[in-house]
Amino acid sequence: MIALAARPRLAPKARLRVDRISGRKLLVYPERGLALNETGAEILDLCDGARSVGEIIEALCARHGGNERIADEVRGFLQELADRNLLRGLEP
Amino acid sequence: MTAERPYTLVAELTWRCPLRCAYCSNPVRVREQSAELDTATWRRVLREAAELGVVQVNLSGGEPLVRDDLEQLVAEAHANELYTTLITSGVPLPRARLAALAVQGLDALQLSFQDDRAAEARRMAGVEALEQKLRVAEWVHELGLPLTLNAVLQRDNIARVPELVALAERLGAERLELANTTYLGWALLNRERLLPSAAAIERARVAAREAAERLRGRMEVLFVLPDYHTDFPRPCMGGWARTIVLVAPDGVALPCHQARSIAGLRFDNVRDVALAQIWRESPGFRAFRGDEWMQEPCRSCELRHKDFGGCRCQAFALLGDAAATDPACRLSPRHALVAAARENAEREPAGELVYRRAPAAD
Repeated sequence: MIALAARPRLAPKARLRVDRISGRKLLVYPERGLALNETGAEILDLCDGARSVGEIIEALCARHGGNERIADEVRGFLQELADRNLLRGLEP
Repeated sequence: MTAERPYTLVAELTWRCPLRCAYCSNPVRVREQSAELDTATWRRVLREAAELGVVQVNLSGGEPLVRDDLEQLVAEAHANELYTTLITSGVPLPRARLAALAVQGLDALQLSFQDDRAAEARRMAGVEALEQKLRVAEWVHELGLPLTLNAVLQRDNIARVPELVALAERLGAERLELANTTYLGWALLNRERLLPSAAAIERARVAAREAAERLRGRMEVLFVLPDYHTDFPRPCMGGWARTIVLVAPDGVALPCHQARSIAGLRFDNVRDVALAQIWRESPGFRAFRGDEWMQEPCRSCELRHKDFGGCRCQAFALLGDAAATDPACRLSPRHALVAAARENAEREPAGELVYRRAPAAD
């Protein structure tokens, strides 16, 4: 599980871009791509290597009304990206 | 039936290659081939692809490094926000050229290895290349580019999965593709020499799975099962003309590497027709989209939207009917053909490897 103290940022191989067809955010990396939903895009925008996972959760709770679901969603999403080796800064 | 958009463009820049791998999936012969596209046309194709919704471009071949305009093509792809991967043997590639490609915006590199042992690698490729590949992998690492290591598995290297995993780890690869040979093109000519036994494939599969678990989060280990041994067809290209478009060296746009081997299909050339129009309307692209073309047992099969009836080119190569169920499928009435090849693989093969050449014209 991703530590709350980790300060994630995207790995250099990953590119975040807007899809010309759907207008949605795409995360593109070697020979693969992920179409992000709004939450995923919002989470990644906050992954700047400075904010901790805890701070990212707080920011999203403040924006959307705090609840535990957001914390689970953030950590689940970041874990998925970490399993694909798409994040750096995970060592607290 | 149209498909929304392709995500990947495979730009086969050339069929020239210094290597002569006996498992090559390039066509053995090509009807009506014309000269390679020039730089300006490839740049237009890259722009058209980006407009059509392509996000990944694989610069492939043959060996794309033999094109001396590769830097310009990488720059054009980069300017169009395309994630650009060089699919290469690493031959010939001086460090300065790799650095120049990185500066122009190359995003990633996929480097092929025939074997981790020099003599065996030479026997499969027909030339000496292992030392050069190891140097290229080091430079890739130094330049900070993500590296995929690709090994096409066949009879002589299938037992080397643990060593190939160790090599990929040592070279700092982000991905390792252990792809069993697809028996089309040159590989079909060499099938008897290349197809491994069932037991050898099972040992390789287990070794690859263990590596994938051990390396999760550090290196992706991908094991592509051989359809000859699974009794299920592979979902070839993720479905015919569904997410991938390929442009051959002479400009013919295709749904896959082998599609022009299918007699009776008509394909357009990017010299004459815009890529978007080809994607939507080319008769060759529409021929096997969706499921209306399917015959039984595919037509009523509940897996038809998962495996898309398998590989059209394999159905044509083995049965002479591109609309037939892929004979790799256990439900194909002609499955015995594949089963016989598989049984044959339990014996030691005879005969010499036939080495790849650039495709002959009919």
